[in-house]
Amino acid sequence: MPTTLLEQSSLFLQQFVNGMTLGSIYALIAVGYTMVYGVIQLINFAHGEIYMLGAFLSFSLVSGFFGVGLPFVLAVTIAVLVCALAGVLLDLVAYRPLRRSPRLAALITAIGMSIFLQNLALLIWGGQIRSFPRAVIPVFLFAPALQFGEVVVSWLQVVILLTAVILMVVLQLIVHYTRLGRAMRAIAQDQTAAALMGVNVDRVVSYTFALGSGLGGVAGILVGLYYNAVYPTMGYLAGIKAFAAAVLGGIGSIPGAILGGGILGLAEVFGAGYISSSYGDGIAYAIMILVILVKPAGLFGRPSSNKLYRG
Amino acid sequence: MPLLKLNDIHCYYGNIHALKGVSFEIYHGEIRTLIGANGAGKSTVLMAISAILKPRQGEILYDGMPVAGRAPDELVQAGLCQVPEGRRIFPDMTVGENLEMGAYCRSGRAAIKANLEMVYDLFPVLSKRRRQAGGSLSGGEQQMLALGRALMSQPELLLLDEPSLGLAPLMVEKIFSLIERIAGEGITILLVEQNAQAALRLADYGYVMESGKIILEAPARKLLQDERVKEAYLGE
Ligand SMILES: Nc1ncnc2c1ncn2[C@@H]1O[C@H](COP(=O)(O)OP(=O)(O)OP(=O)(O)O)[C@@H](O)[C@H]1O
Ligand SMILES: [Mg+2]
Repeated sequence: MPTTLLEQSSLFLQQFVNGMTLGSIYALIAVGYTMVYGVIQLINFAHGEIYMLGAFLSFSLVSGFFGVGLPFVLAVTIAVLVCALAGVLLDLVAYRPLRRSPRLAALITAIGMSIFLQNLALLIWGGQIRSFPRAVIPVFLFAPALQFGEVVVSWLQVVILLTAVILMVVLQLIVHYTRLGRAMRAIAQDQTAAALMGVNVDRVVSYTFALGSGLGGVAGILVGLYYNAVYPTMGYLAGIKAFAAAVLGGIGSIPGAILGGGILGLAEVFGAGYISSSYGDGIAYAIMILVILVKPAGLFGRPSSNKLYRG
Repeated sequence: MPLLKLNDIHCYYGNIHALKGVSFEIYHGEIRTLIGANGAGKSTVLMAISAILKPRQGEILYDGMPVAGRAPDELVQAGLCQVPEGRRIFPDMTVGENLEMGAYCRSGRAAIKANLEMVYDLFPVLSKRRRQAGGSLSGGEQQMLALGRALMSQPELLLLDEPSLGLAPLMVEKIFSLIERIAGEGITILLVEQNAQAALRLADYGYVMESGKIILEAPARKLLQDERVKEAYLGE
């Protein structure tokens, strides 16, 4: 255990940086849950698998798993676009036919799609943990960007934080200042009224899946690089945690998901650091259960938009 | 040719037979009203016209073309707009954003802007509150917002579902005079109301609905004098 004040504070600072890094990844995933829930009141449990897909695709494209190795930036771009497309397809194939069915049907389908996609990944990539070959990743990512005393912030952490911040800002701009964003908010508030105003609800839902899944894909790529481990079930735990973040923030609220992601990342890292490393994962569940018990609408959620957790 | 024509429409909610063969029509420039008690099926008629509900039987023609197979947004684009029961404005959007949603299907910034000024002229209170959340308006103001939002789509046919619902008598009068002004602009109006008195005074022609059927129809002046209507709907 660190003893001096200096050691203690640098440990704290290091964990704060690590927690924020993890938190921004959770935030990126969590907005996908929350956006989809906002427009069609569905918890897309297969969202974690889209994130896994992002990691696998980028890994495969840079490492030449599919035969040709692409430059890093190109590979990452393609991976994100394919994730966006996969999200749209997921909705088209699995959820849209159930739009008028009881909500439980879609929820069970979502769980089914999650299992299906995990197994599909297992079939394509096998069960072993894959890692990005160092040679194909820009080397600077692993160099320290900032260093004071014991505290090191790697370029990768800077990239993760910056990417998350930029994407969240762009997302907020889209949601608040574009025609698509206005339609998304209209559907979230009253789907029938939106349709009566001429919003093509199906199309807007597709775009919502594309945006959310694209962001999930980005998160998958960043995590794949950060932990340097890509495997078929990686989306499960990350998905649950990001879902907890979305619930914490108030499902349906994008700022809520961002804040929830940050809090969850910090709580996990600090919990692991100060209580026990084996508690890291449990903290997400504890937070989620606590929120559902104490404040089901979450930090930013409106009680009325939280039908799933009422009574 | 009627602007809108319903021919033997049957609608169901699960096993509930909500519309049992509804037929009527409305011509360009008219105000027609559909009156009836709670649960008669009035809102169901409007939702079927807007293609939110699919009739199991019968045909709806808008401007001579079948509504079946078209999506709600295509109908809005074709000039058919509904102000649904309970106003259903977007509560978390500002008044301005709500109005912009009305113009969702349109293009041409300048024309939309001109339309917006027209709406603000018609409803000065909306102009005063343009940055306020829709949900923070009073019931009457929300009804005006719902009307204004619909006008932003430049409708040819406006379907109004109980615009007087839950409003104080003075506000009801105000809303009805606004509807009259809107009709004066040449917009055809199908007005669903429980306030039969006010609706029949405004309308050219009226239909009385009961348990999913139209049981009576006549020019509005005649319905106002009809003994059955007087007894059942005018409280006389
Ligand atoms: N979503 C629904 N599910 C099941 N039944 C419904 C639904 N909506 C309406 N109904 C039923 O269909 C019938 C017609 O309802 P509708 O809302 O069209 O009546 P209305 O004339 O508009 O009544 P009100 O004046 O109260 O608005 C009623 O018996 C109602 O209970
Ligand atoms: Mg009704």
